[in-house]
Amino acid sequence: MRFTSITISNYRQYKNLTFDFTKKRDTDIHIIVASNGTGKTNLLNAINWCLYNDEPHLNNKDEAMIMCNKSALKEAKERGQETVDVSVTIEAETNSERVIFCRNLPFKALTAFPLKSRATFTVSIVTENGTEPLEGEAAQDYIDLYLPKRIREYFFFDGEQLDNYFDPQKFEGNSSAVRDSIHTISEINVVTDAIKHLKKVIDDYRREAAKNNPDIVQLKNTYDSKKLLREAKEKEISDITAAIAVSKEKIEEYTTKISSQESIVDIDKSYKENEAEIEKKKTEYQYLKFELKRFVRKYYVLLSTYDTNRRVYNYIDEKSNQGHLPPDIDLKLLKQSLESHICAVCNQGIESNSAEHIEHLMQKLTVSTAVSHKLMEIKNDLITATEAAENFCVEKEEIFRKLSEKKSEISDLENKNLVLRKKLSTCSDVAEIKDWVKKRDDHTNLVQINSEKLGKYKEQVKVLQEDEDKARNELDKALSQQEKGEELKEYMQYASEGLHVLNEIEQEITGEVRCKMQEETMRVFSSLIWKKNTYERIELNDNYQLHLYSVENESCIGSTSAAERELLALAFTIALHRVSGHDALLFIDTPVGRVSDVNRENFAQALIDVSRDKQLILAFTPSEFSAEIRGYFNDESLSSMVELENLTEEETKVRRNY
Amino acid sequence: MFKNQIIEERINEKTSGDQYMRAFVKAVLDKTKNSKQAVSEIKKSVESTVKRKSNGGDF
Repeated sequence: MRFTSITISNYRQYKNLTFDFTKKRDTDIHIIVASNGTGKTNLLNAINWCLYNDEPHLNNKDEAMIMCNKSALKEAKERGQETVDVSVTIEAETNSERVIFCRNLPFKALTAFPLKSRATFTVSIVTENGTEPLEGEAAQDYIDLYLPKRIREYFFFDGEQLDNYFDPQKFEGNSSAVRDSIHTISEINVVTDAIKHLKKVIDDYRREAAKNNPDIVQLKNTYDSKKLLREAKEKEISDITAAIAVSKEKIEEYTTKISSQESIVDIDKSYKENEAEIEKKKTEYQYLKFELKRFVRKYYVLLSTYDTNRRVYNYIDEKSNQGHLPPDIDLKLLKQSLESHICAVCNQGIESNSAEHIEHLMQKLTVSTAVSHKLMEIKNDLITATEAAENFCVEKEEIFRKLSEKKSEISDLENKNLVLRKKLSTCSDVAEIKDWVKKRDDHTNLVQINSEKLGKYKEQVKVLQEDEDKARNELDKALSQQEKGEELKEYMQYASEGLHVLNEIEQEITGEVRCKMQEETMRVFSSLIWKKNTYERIELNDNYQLHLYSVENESCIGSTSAAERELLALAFTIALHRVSGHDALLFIDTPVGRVSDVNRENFAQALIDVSRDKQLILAFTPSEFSAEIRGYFNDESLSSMVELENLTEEETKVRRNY
Repeated sequence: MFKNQIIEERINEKTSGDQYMRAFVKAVLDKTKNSKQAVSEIKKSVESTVKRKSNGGDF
C-alpha cells in the first residue's frame, strides 16, 4: 500500500492543505521540508488520527491545544457558522484497488467543543466495479490488514523516538511487543494462530471422542439377553398358539364324531339319571312300607279296643254330664261336721245315728272320688284313641295311595329305562363316545386356559420387545458413536499431522525470519554507516531485542552514537519491511536529525535503494535536508518535494512545491 | 497467499508429495487469516479433506 495524497482541513495548523504523493520516478521518494513548529510532526499525528483516531506524537495530550484550527474557528464565528469540520483524507492504492480513508469531526464554532457524536470514519474501496464503503469493524479490519495499529511504529517511523525501538519496556509497554509485531508483520503470527486453532480443533475432537467411548460389549450382552427373553416368550406364544390350534382341531374332530352320536350320550345320561331316580324311589317305597307296618301295628291296638273305649268313654261322659263325676258332697265338710258334731251346712247338732251315717257316707265318698278322678283322667285318652281309630280309613287310604303312587313312579321310570336300554343297545360303544365328549371338553378347557395365557404372554412380549428395542437403540447408538469415534480418531490424526507440519514451519520460519532479519539489518546498517570495520554482526534474541557485536565479538550497542542508533533503528525497520514482504509505505519523520556527513550520504543512498519497491515519505527539518542529502534526493530521484512554512502562528502553508 | 514468501516456500517444502496436506495446511492458514469462525471452518476442512482423501477424490 502506498499513499497517493493526504488532504487536511482545519486540523491544527493545517487549515487546508493537500500533499500529493504521486509516483513519478522508478524510485518512490517524497520529501517534506519544514522548520520546527511548522507542523511536520503534526502531519504524522494527522495520519495517525485519520487511521487510528489518536495522536501519539503529542508531547502532552492533556495540555495540547484543541485539534480544530483556531483561524478556521475564528472565521466561522465571524461568518456565523455553527460548526467547523476537522477532516483528514488519505487516498492510497494497493496492487488491486484504490482506497480512501476519511475521518471527520465537527467542532462548535462558538465553544470549540468537539461534537464527537457526529464524528465519522469511512474507508472507501474503489475498484473498477465501483466504490465499496466500509464502516466500523470492517473499516478497522481493512486498516489492520495493511497498517496494523500495534506495529504502526514500523510504518510511521519517528526519528526523534528512536530509543523506543530498542527498549522493549518502552515499546507499547511489554517485552514481547517487538517480537509480536515482527511476527505480525512477517505473518508468523498467522502460523502461530493457525497452530492454536488446530490444537483447539484436536482438543475438541479428543473431547468428543472421549464422550464416544461406550462399553459396546456390555451393551451387546444386554441386547442379546433381552432378545433371548423376547424370543423365548415368543416361542412360548408360538407353542401355545399351536396348542390352541391343535385343541381347536381336536374339538372340531370330536364335535364331528360326536355330532351323529350325541343323542346316545343324552340317552345314556338320561338312563343313568333314571337309574338313580329309581333307586331313590325304591328307597322311598321301602320307607312307605315301613310306615304301613307301623300303621298296622298302631291301628291293630286302636281298632281292637275301639268298642270298649267308646263304651267307657260314653259312660264317663254320661256320668260326667249328670254331674256325678265328681260327687256333689264335700268330704272336707263331712269330716268337719263329724269332728265338731255340728252340721257345717245347717249348724245343727249331729246325733249319733247321723254321725254313723256321715261316717258311712264318708267311706263311700272316698272310693267314688278316686274312681271319679281316674275316669276323668282317662277320658281324654279314650277320646284320643277313639278319634284316632276313627281316622283309620283316611289314614289307610293315604298310605296306600302313597304306596301306589311310588310304585307307579318306579314302574314308569323302569319302563322308560327299558326303552332307553333298548336304544342304547343299538350303539356300538357308548364309552368311546363319552371319551370323545370328555376329550372335547378337555380341549375346550385347554383352549380357554391357553387363550388366557396367550393374552398374558402377548402383553409380556410387548414389554420385552420395548426393552429389546431400547437396548438395540442404545447398542446402535453406541456402535454409531464407535464409528463416530473412529472417524474422530482419523480427524484427530490428520489434524495432528497438519499441526506437526505447521509446528515445523513455525519453528523454521521463526528462526529463519530472525536470521534474515539479523542479516538484513546488518547489511542495511553497514550500508548506512561510514565505519565499515567496526561492527561485525547483529543478533536478535527471542523477543527481537537487538544486540550489535563488534569485530572483536563484543556487544557494543551501549557505546554506539545517537546517530548510529538511529541508523540501526532505520536499518531494522527497512530489514523488517524487506524480510516480511509487508506491502506498506514507510513514513520517516526527522530521519537524520542526529546523523551527519558521510552517514547522511549513506542514509540517502540506502533509502533510494529501498524506494525502488517501497514508498518513502521523509519529513526533514531544513537543517537536516543538508547538501549531503540534497545531492542524492534531487530531481532525478524524487517523485515530489514540498517545503512548508508558517503563514501565521496558527497556519502552515506550502512555500514551494517541486 | 502470503506476503512473506518464506511461509509459502516452507509449506510447499514440508508437504511435498502430499497435495492433500498442502491444501489442508494452506486452508488452515487461510481460515486463520480471513475467517472469524476459524476453528469451526478448520474443522470442516479437516473433515472434508479426510473424506476426500479416503474416497480418493480431488484434493
